[in-house]
Amino acid sequence: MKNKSVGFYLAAITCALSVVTLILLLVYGSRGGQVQIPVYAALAGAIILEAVALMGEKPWTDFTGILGAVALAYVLMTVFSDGIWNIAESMNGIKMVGLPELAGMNYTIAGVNIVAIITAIAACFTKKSKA
Amino acid sequence: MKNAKLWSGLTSLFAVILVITLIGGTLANANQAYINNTLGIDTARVVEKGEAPADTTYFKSQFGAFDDPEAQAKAIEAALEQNRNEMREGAALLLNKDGALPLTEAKKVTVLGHGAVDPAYQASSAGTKVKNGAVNSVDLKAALEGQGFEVNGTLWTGLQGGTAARGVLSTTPWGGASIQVNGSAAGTEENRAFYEQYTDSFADYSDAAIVVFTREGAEGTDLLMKDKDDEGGKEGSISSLALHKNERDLLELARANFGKVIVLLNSPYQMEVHEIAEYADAILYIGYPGHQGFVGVAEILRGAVNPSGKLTDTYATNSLSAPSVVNSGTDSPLFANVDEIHSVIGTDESADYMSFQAESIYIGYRYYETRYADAVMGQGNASDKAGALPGAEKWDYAAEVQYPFGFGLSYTTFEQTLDSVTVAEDQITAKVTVKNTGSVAGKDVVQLYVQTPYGAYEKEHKVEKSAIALAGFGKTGLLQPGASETVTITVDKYLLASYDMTANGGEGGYILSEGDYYLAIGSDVHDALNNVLAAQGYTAANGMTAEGVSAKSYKWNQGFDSEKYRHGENGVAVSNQFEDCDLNHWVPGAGTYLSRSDWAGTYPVSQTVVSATKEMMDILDGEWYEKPADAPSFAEVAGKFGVDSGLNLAAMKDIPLSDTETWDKFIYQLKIEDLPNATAESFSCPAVGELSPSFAVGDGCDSVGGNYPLPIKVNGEDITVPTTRYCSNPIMVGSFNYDIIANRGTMMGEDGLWSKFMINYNVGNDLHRTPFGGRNFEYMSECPILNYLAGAAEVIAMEKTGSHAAPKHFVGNDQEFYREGIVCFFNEQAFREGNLKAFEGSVRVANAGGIMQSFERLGLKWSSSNYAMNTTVLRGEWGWQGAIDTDAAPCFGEYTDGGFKNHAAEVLAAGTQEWCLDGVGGHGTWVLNKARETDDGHLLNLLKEAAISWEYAISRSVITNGYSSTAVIEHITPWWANAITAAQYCSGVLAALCLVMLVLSKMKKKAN
Repeated sequence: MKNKSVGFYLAAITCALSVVTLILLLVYGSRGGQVQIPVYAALAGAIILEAVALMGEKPWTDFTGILGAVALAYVLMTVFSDGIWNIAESMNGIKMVGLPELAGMNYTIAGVNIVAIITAIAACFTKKSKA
Repeated sequence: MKNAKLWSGLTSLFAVILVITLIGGTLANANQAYINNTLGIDTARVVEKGEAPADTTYFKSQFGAFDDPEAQAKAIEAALEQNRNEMREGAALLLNKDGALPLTEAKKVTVLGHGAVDPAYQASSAGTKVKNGAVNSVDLKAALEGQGFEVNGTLWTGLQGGTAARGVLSTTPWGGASIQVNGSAAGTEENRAFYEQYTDSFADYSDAAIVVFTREGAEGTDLLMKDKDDEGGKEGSISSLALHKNERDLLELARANFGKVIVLLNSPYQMEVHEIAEYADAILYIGYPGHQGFVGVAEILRGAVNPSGKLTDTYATNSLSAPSVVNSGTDSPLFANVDEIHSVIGTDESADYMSFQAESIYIGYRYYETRYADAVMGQGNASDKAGALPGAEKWDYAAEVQYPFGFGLSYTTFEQTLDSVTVAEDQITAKVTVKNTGSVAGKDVVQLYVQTPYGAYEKEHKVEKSAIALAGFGKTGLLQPGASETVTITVDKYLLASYDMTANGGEGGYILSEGDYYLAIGSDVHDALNNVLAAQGYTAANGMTAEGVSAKSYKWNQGFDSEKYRHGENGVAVSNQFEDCDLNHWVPGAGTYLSRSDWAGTYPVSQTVVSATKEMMDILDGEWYEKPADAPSFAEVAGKFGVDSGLNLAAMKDIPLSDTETWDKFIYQLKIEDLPNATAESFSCPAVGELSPSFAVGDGCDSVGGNYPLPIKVNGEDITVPTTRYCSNPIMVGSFNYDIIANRGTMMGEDGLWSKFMINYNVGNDLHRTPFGGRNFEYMSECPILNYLAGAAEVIAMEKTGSHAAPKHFVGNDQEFYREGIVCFFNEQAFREGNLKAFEGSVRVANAGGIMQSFERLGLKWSSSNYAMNTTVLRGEWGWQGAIDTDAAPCFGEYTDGGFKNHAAEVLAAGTQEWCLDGVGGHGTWVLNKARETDDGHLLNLLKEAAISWEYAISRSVITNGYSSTAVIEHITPWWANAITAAQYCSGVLAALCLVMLVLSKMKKKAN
């Protein structure tokens, strides 16, 4: 544990936030929110890729970290894009083709996802172990 | 190592930006119209290539130039005046014990009810949203103060801090909150304990209690047929339209503390008012007021305006007593084998729910009044208890109906005399003299009704007949006491025809029945029916609720005629087209329709549910398009495109569609890749090649949305003024005043003009099949003839402005829950005389510029992929040439074929030509690719026809303003699009560079 650096903890936070995002997405999907299969795949990939960093600094860690951040960005934008009508209808107080009642979840998912992206990028700037 | 981390971090940063800008760019592109609208960006400019003409403003505002602030101010004021006038003439006074109203002397009043401080100015749907404090809005308190009332401020402030709410409170993590309406009335009123805190304040404001009750549905949300009561109220379910406990407690409290109790019904849905009447001295139905309807309400309360509005719906004692309630709305049943349907065609076809329209033609008064007439005549077991109030031993009209269609009181009295009736070959003309026999000035509505024969032929051929039906109406001007006016009403005989599915050797068609016809005037539909019954010799001794006046009716005899309306426009034969929408077509004997021949045996006492057969599921699956054997090749059709013929939009504005050669030349100037944009309708529509620019459209039946272009100063700040929210449609139409109705069309057209809307999806022609339909506030009435007549008046006026009217939701959208894909089964007579007739005035007669379709299935096919409706009826029988648009079928990027609303080839082949909320032309692009892949020139031709239809509508609209016949359109890429593209390139290049540096640093490290 003493060998862990800031990057390790950032990757760990990213990993945890990604798991939270996954749970939120599962709930969101169960309530009728649109979540494409590739989103789940990308998020699962992000969790694995960020988890790799928890093994400490390895030659491939930089690349897995980059891919993890990219996967999270894909998740953010795809879920946002697919949920745009939830948000638009919520803001306008109407219900047409979206599920405005899920707009709060859209905001929450996006918030958690954005923090995860920031920590993922920050983790890429830092070493995962002190050695 | 440090370098590697720097490059690693930068790579991730730029890669993330690249992903965000790529996906965000696609999203922005799909919504570019909204962005451009918000940012005020024009994406096209007109470049004059010839000699500039003097004036290319083909469609002008009646108020002046679009860049003139004074003209804009006049337009805004005229719209608000229309809004006020609708309430002045549309609010219906239902009860007025001992002349409780007007409150001519009252000064200090107490306003009660959560709906007073939180009224439904409108329900949730498209168009401008009004809330307390919104620009140009007037709340009830301000309106009352405008009439000199002083309002109990203690209670008003208390109500503002109350906890009652309509719907479910939804909160966000950071504390934001919004209310999602859910169709329930529970919890919408404060409880007794709340009001008891304020009883001390009543004494100083005791001239009258004004109680506001609200019901609010929404797009997507019906009123609940099975609601729960407030805490401490009745066990089990009650109708959301019934009085709830807190409301009853409030009325008791008001009755105990005030000499006068006035109730305002802020609800376009027919509440069960009989209990309210027990407590109230007066009841005024006000529907939704929009921006300034409360001004009209206050004027009526004060007596500055004499109410003259009439109900456009029947107010039944039990809101659940109508036969149409059984299989609809929140009680719509699932198919018995819904799981099997899912396993066979999947869940994405949205084919779970069915609605068998057992009521046949008997919606609203057509049920209650016809059953009443039969009860009086002792016909068809009408008095049987089937469908009667719970616990009743027999069906009794007086107990079943509180206020009939067309009812509305005045502060004065009128006497109407049927002077003459002339029955000509095609038209009937009635002259009615109205005399004000009371003591104050007022306007009166002349309602003209008809009874057509229900004889042996009709019974044998199962042609159902309403015992009474609206035929026409008119309204007097303001009549001073003792003054009179003669109103002339002309009726198209076509409105007296019935659809007979067996006529013409089984081909079907409209018939004029043989026998005695009766025209009658009346203060409402029931009064008119009584006048007919009196002419037939019936009296109160036969069970009539009142003696009729036979002199107020006119009888003539007509021979059987199945030829007169055998053909529609252009000689196209009218014949059965919707036999496959009858449940019995698929499951013989499964559905029983209500019939006058046997009320007891046909009233739907239980739901009709079937299992979908394999054959039905094949159709529910939605795939039926096959390339015609004689289809031209793709290349054969595609080869005609890309040929410049020098025609532009302005050149086409006077070319009729019948000049197919010129229209073909115009469209063939496009590259075929541009064709899908002509199928792309959204709140803002994309440019179609060089032929037409992008433009916005309006949407909303009581407000088209949009803003006036010139900001105004309010408290020193520039603000944008939204277009006006008018009264809910049942109030507007309840004016029964063609001037009010037509001026709604004119003003909505003006709103569209100022907002530069090519078209507005704004004429609510659907029927109030039940009182629970979530969008009844947007739709006109329960009567198809009223919708026919009012719709025609509104559309004719609006089409003159240059911003098109488009009725919606064509056709048969009468519920919001389960609306997407619900399978509606009905018989052809009910459909043609009901849903279709309700639209026919707007569409065929008034020639609306377009229509928006609906979400439900007609029989087993989605309305948008129903060839019989969109091509055979609309284009054939009705000869109509407007633009046919789906209801929302959104597409933001790549379109995937399959699933409900995503059968693009079938939709296009059925005659639908635009997809709503598909600003990227995703459906059209898929069709184009499909045509190319399958070498199907027929599909490509359908795209061309869609483009002609769309451009035709554009060429007759405000979008042509500024174009001369020698002008060309130049497209402008908005700055934000360039910025996104630049961000994509920069982040991509930087990500790649950083990645290379990362790899190099790794290699260098490894080498070291």
